[in-house]
Amino acid sequence: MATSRLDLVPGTVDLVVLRALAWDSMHGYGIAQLVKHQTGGAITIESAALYQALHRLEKRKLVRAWWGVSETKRRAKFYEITTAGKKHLQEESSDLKAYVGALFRLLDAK
Amino acid sequence: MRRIPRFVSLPRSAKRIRADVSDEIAFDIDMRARDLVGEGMDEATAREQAAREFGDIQQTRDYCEDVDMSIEVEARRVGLLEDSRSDIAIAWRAMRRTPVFAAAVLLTLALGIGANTAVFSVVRRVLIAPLPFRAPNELYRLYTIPSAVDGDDDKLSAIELTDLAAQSRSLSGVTMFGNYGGLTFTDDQRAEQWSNVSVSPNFFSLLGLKLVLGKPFADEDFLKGAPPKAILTYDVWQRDFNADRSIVGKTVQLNAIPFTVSGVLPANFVGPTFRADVLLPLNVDAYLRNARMSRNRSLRSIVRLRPGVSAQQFEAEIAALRPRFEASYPDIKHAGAFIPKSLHSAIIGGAGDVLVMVMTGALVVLLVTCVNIAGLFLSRAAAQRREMGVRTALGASRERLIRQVLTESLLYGIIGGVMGLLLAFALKGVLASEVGTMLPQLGEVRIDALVLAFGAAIAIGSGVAFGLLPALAATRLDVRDALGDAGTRSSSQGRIGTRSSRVLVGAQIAFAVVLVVASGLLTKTFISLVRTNLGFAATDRQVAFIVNLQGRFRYPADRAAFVAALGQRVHAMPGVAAFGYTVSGPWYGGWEGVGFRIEGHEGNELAHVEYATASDEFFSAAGIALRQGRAFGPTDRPGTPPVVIISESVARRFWPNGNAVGSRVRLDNGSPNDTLISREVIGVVADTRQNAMSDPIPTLYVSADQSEIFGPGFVVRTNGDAASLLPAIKETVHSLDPKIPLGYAQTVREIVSSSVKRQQIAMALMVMFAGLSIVLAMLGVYGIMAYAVVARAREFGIRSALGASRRAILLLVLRSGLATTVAGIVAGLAMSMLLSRLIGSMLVGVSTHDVATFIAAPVILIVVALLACLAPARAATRVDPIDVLRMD
Repeated sequence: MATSRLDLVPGTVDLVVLRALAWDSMHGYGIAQLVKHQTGGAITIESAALYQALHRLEKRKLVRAWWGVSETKRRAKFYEITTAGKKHLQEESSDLKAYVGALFRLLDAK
Repeated sequence: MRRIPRFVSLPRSAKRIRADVSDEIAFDIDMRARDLVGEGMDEATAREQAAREFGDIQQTRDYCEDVDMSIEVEARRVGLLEDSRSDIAIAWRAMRRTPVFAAAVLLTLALGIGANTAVFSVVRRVLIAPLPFRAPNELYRLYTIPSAVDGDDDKLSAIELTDLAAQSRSLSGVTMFGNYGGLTFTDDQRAEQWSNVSVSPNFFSLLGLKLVLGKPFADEDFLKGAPPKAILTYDVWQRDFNADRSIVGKTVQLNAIPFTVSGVLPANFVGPTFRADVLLPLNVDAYLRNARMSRNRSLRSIVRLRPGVSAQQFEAEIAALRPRFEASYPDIKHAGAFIPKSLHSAIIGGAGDVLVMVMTGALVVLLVTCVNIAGLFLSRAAAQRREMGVRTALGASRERLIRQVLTESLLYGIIGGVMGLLLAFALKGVLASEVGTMLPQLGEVRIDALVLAFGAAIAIGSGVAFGLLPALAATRLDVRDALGDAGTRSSSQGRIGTRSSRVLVGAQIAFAVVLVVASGLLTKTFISLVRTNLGFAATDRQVAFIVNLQGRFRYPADRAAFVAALGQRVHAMPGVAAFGYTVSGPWYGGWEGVGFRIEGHEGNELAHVEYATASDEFFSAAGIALRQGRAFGPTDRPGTPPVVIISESVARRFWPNGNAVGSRVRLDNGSPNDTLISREVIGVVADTRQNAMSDPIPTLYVSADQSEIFGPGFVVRTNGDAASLLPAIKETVHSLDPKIPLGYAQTVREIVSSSVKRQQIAMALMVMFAGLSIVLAMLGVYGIMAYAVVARAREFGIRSALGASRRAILLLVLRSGLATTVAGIVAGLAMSMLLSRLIGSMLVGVSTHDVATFIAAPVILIVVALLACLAPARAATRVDPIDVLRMD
């Protein structure tokens, strides 16, 4: 457990989940693992928030889900990004990037 | 969204969703715990930590379940729409694939729904719609025990009614009306016959009538010597005055007397017991001032109960008051014998029975129709079993299949319903004009929202009714059974189908029996009514009409000259055999009662009989047989000895020894002159009755030329078709005096047949319904037998291979068909016994359990069933054993 771990900025969970699924279809636990590894453990998603986000995205038809068998041979729910999800990810991440860039410029201005 | 409405059934149930969410969460925690164990943690601590790291489990679970539920509901909604669309498409395709089947189903349905909707439109108007009065449920008509001679049971005396109004605590008012009569309306161009009724002052306020124009009569209008006032009905106002809105205050000439129009009645006004063109004030005080008139039972009445008072309470009060009335009015027979009857049933009268019966009949036909179509669907479902099996194997749920079959039957129901409603619009006109003649004028029969709703309800109801059983039967099957070769042969499934269709056919036969029995009873009634001897000839060779001479001639001699001239000209017309006139023809129900005393019988009671007048040729023209003595002749004129003729029942009752002719009587008609004149009985004629349902009227005839009362009822007997003479007769009257109206012209047969119209319509409709149900039952029997023969072809083949004769096989099939028929007949007879009471009130001279009818109906249906079985049975004998055995 990294003590320097950051909790996810509210509102960005959906984006992070979509980004992870744009990589590959996977189950919820896989998404959490992937995010942890990709950020070197700097960002972790709390499972509660993760699953709520997944179900919410499914309802918005940005992801779709099916029941499959996990690497441990267990019944697991897998998620996959939809075309609408990919489009959404693109738009939202450019918005976020622009916002974060502006935020950095503000913070760095001395 | 936490609670999903129960009626939304989800393919992924709420329970399933909860399990899935739990699984998903458990999977996450397990995976994390597993990783932690891999990092060296012990199992229990790892699980604890994994759960803690997860966050709020309960909240996540709730959130995910809610979201999933809403996903599911949405999916389900879209799915249902898509399913329904595909169901309808499939049903539509099936319909088009079997056009004959579809046409047969739609046609029978349209007939059933159309007939029901049309009948219901009349039922709604007559039985359901409230009377157009204020608080109509509080209104009652008063009847009484009629005295032995004068027949009206709804007339009471002014003094009894006035007294009742004063004494009763249950009533908020009593209104009276009477003096029904005819007036001649004249203006510059026209002379018309109007009927009139006089009403007491509170008539309008008691009924709560709101006039469209003007105002009700004022109190002073009822006073003796007041300027004459009149209130017109809406129809007269429309017809004769072009809906002139300035009519109030103008005068109209009635019997050459100017009446000032006080107001116009609303369009929906229903005359309680009368159809009048004009209402006049009834001077009740004048009645009360005259001792004899006040006790004469000549007024009809309507009472209004106080709010909250029940009919029973009113009846109890009447019973308590009766001794007081008897003590006060010993000279009135049955004084105070008031019998209340709700105004609604008084107005509807027998029409209600006819309607309830016709509605029941129509519903039974619809039921038979549904049963029949269910049978058709059922046998077709048997053929579709393979398709259903395939679809089940492909994963269609039973519910889904039932829905598809139901969709098809509903589609039939809706299309049939639309056709039926169109038919109802057409039928409604026929019904309204036919039934309308016997119905009280309750306003136009319309197909309104309620009627449409009824039509739609029975259309959808029948769709479900005839679709459900076949749908259940078609889907109650084993997939392997249907897909295997068993599907093509008689199997357990086939037997279930056959059994249900047998029940259906039995039910059809039972209903057909009920309708055949009902139509049989009504037909017998009608025949007996038509054959009833009325005492006068009711043929098309006689035409009756009214020529209103009232107020037209100042001197009786002028009037006599007019009538003589008319008689002469009519006699000159081709084919005219006799020309007579009377105060009111017996076919109109007579005129009024008269008292008489037999001379030489000291202290004899005043006897009451019907008073009539007769011209010399009246009996000959009307076809009333002379039993004894002679008819009136040229010697019976004013100034010659006064003479009377009596009818048989009067002779029998007052001269039991048969010596009436030659006796002398004195009449008491209210006018003091009457009692002074001694009249000789010169003849006895046959009794007459108004129609087949009324009793003979004991009548005393005075020579028309010796009577002060001149009757306007004419009758002409011809050797041919009397109706064709009418234009010439009208023309003659007009040429003699254009201001004299001729009205109510009809052949005597027409007048009389309108009295049995109720039975005639009931009979005609029932015979139609019965015929329809027989045809349907026949189709049903044929269908089931034809199907059974195909299903059992193998058995017949084997039987014939084993040496069974064709005759044996024929009998075998007929017997099995008859078994169903007989079961249906037994059930039908039992139902008929129970239901025949429904039409009891319409039967005259026929018992509700008429043996001949109850024997004939089963015989008819057995013959029909045998005929229906014949073709399938012959087919069974022609089954080739070789073909059948090869099928294996």
